Amino acid sequence: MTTPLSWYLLLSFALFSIGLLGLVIRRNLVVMLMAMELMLNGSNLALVAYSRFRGDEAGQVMAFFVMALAAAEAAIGLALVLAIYRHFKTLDVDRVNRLNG
Amino acid sequence: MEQILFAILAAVALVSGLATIAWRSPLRSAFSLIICLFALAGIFVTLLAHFLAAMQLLVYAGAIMVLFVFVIMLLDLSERGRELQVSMLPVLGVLAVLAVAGKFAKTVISSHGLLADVPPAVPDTFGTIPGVAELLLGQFLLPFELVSLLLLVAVVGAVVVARRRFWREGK
Repeated sequence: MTTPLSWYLLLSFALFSIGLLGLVIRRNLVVMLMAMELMLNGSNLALVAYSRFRGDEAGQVMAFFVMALAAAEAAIGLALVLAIYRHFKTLDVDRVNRLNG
Repeated sequence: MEQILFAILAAVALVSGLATIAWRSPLRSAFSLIICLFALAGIFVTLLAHFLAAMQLLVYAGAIMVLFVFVIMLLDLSERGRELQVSMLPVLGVLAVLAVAGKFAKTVISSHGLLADVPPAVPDTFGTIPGVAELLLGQFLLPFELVSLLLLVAVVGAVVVARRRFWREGK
């Protein structure tokens, strides 16, 4: 009674879609970054699921690299959030629309 | 048994994932995302990815989310973000999700039969530190070293961008 591969892929797709939806409809920069983390986790799940069903650990190594990438992305993204908040006094991306500060 | 465990963890991950993008307060979003990451770590364990599950808890739920919560607290967004800021683009969002759904269905249908629905038998070291380390420090040694370089660049970049003086000099 093992879980079929398509269930894992469905969950991975659902998480990716939720993240994509959040990225498009939310305007708060921090929440948009979190939605991106959700998308990265969705793709990670697909990598790990395929790794299990192929019996090949390379997929897990890829997921590990994605995790390191997410850490770098969060560090840079949150630094930008701090800088933007200091400059514009808001995190609403619709109001951050001037190129020349 | 395994399917019940998967169903519970998947339900937790989906609900907390939806809550992440639905909460008004960014702080609540962050805590929902932490719950989602915990559930995903559990799902990684059902896929025998023990090392990755531990990394998920340490790196994601630990380090990255602490950074998020720290920034949210620092900016005191929990008071300002009272109104739910949603753009006028939900139609675009739904279209994007539908496009991904189509691609997903195509992939699943075309890959049907390529992989067995019953996972193959694997050695005991599968997904443990010795098993993953053998690949990470062997076949993938160069990417592994490049990732450490990437993290160094990211840390230096984050310090430069978040520094106050950098933006004053730009004016």
